[in-house]
Amino acid sequence: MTLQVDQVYTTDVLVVGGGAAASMAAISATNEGADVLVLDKGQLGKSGCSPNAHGGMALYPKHENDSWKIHFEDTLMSGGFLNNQQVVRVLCQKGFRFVSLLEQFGSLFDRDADGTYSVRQFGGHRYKRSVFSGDETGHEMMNGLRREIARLGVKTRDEVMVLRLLTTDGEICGALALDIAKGAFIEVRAKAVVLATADGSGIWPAAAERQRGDGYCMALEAGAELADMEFIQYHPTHAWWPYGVRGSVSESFRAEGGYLLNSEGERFMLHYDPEQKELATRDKVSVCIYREILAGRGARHGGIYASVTHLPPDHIEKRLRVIFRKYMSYGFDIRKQPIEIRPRPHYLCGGVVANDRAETRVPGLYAAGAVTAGVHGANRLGSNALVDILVFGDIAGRNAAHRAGNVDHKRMNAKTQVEKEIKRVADLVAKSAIEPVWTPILRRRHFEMMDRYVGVLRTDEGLRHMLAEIERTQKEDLPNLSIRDKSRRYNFELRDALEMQLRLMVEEMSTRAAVTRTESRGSHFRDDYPKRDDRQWLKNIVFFKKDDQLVCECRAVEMSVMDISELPAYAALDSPWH
Amino acid sequence: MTCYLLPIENPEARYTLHVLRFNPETDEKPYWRSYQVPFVSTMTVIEALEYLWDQGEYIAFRTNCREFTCGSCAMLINGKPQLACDTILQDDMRLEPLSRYGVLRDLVVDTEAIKKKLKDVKYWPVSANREKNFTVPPQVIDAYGQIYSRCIECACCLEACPASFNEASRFDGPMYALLLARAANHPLDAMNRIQQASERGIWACVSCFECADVCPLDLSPAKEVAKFRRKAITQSLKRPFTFRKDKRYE
Amino acid sequence: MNEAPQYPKRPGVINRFFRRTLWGEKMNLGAYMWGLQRVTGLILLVYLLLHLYILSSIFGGARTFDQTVAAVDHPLIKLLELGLLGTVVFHALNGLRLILMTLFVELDQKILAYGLGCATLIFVVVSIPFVW
Ligand SMILES: Cc1cc2nc3c(=O)[nH]c(=O)nc-3n(C[C@H](O)[C@H](O)[C@H](O)COP(=O)(O)OP(=O)(O)OC[C@H]3O[C@@H](n4cnc5c(N)ncnc54)[C@H](O)[C@@H]3O)c2cc1C
Ligand code: FES
Repeated sequence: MTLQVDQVYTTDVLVVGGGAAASMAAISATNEGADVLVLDKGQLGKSGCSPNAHGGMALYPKHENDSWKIHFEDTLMSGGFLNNQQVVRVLCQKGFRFVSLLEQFGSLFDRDADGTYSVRQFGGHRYKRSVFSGDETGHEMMNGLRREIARLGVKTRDEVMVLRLLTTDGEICGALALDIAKGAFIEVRAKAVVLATADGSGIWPAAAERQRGDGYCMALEAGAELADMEFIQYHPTHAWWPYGVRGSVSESFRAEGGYLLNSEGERFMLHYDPEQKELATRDKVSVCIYREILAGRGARHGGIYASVTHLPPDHIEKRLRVIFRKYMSYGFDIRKQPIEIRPRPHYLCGGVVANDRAETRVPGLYAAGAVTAGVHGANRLGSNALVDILVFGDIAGRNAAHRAGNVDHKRMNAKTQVEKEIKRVADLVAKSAIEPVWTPILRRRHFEMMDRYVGVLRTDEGLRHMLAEIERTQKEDLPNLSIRDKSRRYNFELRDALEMQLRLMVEEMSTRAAVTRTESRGSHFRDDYPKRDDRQWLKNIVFFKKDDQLVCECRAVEMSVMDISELPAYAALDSPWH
Repeated sequence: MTCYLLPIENPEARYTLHVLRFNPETDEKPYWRSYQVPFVSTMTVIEALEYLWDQGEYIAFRTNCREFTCGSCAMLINGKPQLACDTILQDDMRLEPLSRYGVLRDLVVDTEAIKKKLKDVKYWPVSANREKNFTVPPQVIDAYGQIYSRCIECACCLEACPASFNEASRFDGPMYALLLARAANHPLDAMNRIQQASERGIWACVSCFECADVCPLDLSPAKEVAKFRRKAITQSLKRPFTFRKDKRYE
Repeated sequence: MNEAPQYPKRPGVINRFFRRTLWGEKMNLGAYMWGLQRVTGLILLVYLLLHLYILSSIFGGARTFDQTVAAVDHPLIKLLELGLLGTVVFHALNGLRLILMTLFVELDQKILAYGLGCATLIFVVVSIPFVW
């Protein structure tokens, strides 16, 4: 491994990531006249969880009584009022523009007979407002974005993993990256950086296993703040059996009218939530399913049954084509058989704190997409994420381009940062520990423990146990973390090990925040404090680095658009969910 | 999501997996290597490869979604181009990288050529006025839902096509034909896609339907080729002498 | 990638198809039909040359021609003749099938393919008395 920077790029705007948020940011910045470079750890448009998103994007208020205000209220109530209200307002107001924009790029979404977009309802939304294309909305969205990127000729590099953002005097001046294809270091000088590296749900055994949260750590090191890290949303209906079937059974399964049944064939959601039934918010359904399973009414392989057998078969084939096909290839006919599902980790609601202009605390660093906190609060409303990534991808791209037009390239004064990072990689490659620790084994253990202790049902004891384990790992295991594969090209073991070093930081933040928050709210459900406590905990738990130390701070939420007292019915409740 | 979940039913049941390995830095030429993996019913090839990662055998391969929506895990499995995340593991499987593209390491191939060609064929809707309002006929929506939206550009069909050997062939390949049909069906598209398709060699297709056979999503690019041909024929029958001169093509 | 690693040439299409069949991954009917079309085409080409060669003995005068014809009059050759008939019919019908499939996209290629196989067989059987 050569231990120097092999390639230097100079560009106006650097976009880190390769999902929809990154694509949208790159497109907007290019349209604003900036010179853009996109670096992606996978292949652009094929990596990240944007192409896997099934359900829909909540941006088309079709019902006459629906308005942005109601969408806004829904989002806040689902998010336990921890959302950044300015950001949510922008999301709800600006969303609808993007369907037609995507269609100009080359996507096409489902329409009704009268020519307007078809909409479906997701859990927690009061009206039907999610535009979709079958159950592969994200894929169709990426189809359009990928075409636009090709049309504009945006410069992209695939399989380049950004390791660190470089700063000079507290301002962003570029990034250091590792080219996985060649094993070479790349230094990028940029006037502005858009971070769109998605959430860290891959720290749990999630569907989006590739999202290892390196964006969080990069932003933290660069000086940004992270918030709401304790809220890991569990997707209630995640494929569980047959074994080979992967990924979530999208929420459209419930939205189209699927039932959840326990082993006695009973629709148990009727007991827990007679009003919304299966379409309650995800956090609630997850806890209910866990309760059923713990009460011994689970299905044969440890999950719970989900069934659409009562729906007309052609409706299933058309509206749920991905799920149908997915199960069909394992010999399961969802038209005739119920499937087995189980809640799995899905989305980490927290992340980098960014305002409604997508700016973070660090000048020149913009964050967009799943990597940001604030939009979803304590629990993400289904199909809000795709709107979030489009709207804020666009805003971040624009603002980054504006900044690039107004400032000059900083004199690169980040030599120590570059050297430190290169040394980290070089040490890992050169290390020959006496008692080596291998990444997969460590990762597997942490997967399991995070799922058990920082999962759906949390207790103080379990969380502290996890904290101790993280501390032990940092002290004992990390120094011995080694890799066997020393080659340069496509060294996936090195990539995993680098991610392993970072993910511990995210684990620590999540667990510490979960210990601190002594209440239940949204996707953070504590068995020992099962009530929501608005008097004490209308606060975000924020992390940042000060003198190389991780600082944890509780900050009261700003109710700048709507106070919680404006929704008295909600404020009177003390249930953690809406 | 990896093997910590493996509900190993019968630890004795072990399947053999043969992988064509190649590391450009240390190996002169590719070699076959056999591995043992425990078998769980309905386990896919991706899981077997991931199990090997866990065992420290870092075979390089691309994967992201594991639910056939990203199309990055295409490889030759028993000589047939398939998605590793869509193929249930069987005994004595042979995994090779795709043969149409240059091999970078183990099962990873260089797909830059695809990106370049997609740019060449202008697979986006080409239109002078993109902001205009448009209506979409329901059959186009249906076609998108059933066919065009679903292509994940995994390059399996390119690999299987006997009429298109590599990226330099006269016929681009089934996938490009399908994507052209997608663009042609987009309500905003104003380019003469039929002529473009003709120039891109659809007449070389031998209608063997091998692309439809290997397509992991059960699409049929050969049918799209046939549709293009039929349209070209009817168009030139209607206006026998103008077809070649039609300059709607950018 | 500028410093492309050395990798030996990969198997060509035919080899690939062959290996795949050997390893138990069956191909689609259309692919076999395509192969047969190629093979029958080649046979027809060879036959055409042979035919021209035999016909060219006309230029040697009537006697040479008669001699050649007498030499060819042999039961084995008659059998080959039948085979040739089958080849021609197959090739022609398969060509027709491809055209049909282009013009009527929804046609099922399997039915067409089996139908054309049967048609070829019937044609050959029916023409046995004529050849003999
Ligand atoms: C199975 C599933 C179903 C979903 N369904 C829905 C739905 O129905 N509705 C909805 O609204 N949302 C849904 N979501 C959520 C939504 O898809 C995601 O929140 C959203 O796609 C995130 O987009 P993004 O652009 O921010 O990140 P991603 O699309 O995940 O992209 C992140 C990119 O960053 C790259 N990256 C990461 N680290 C680095 C690094 N160090 N250097 C360089 N690049 C890096 C990755 O390669 C990746 O390309 C779903 C998610 C999943 C997993
Ligand atoms: S991993 Fe995405 S298609 Fe197989």
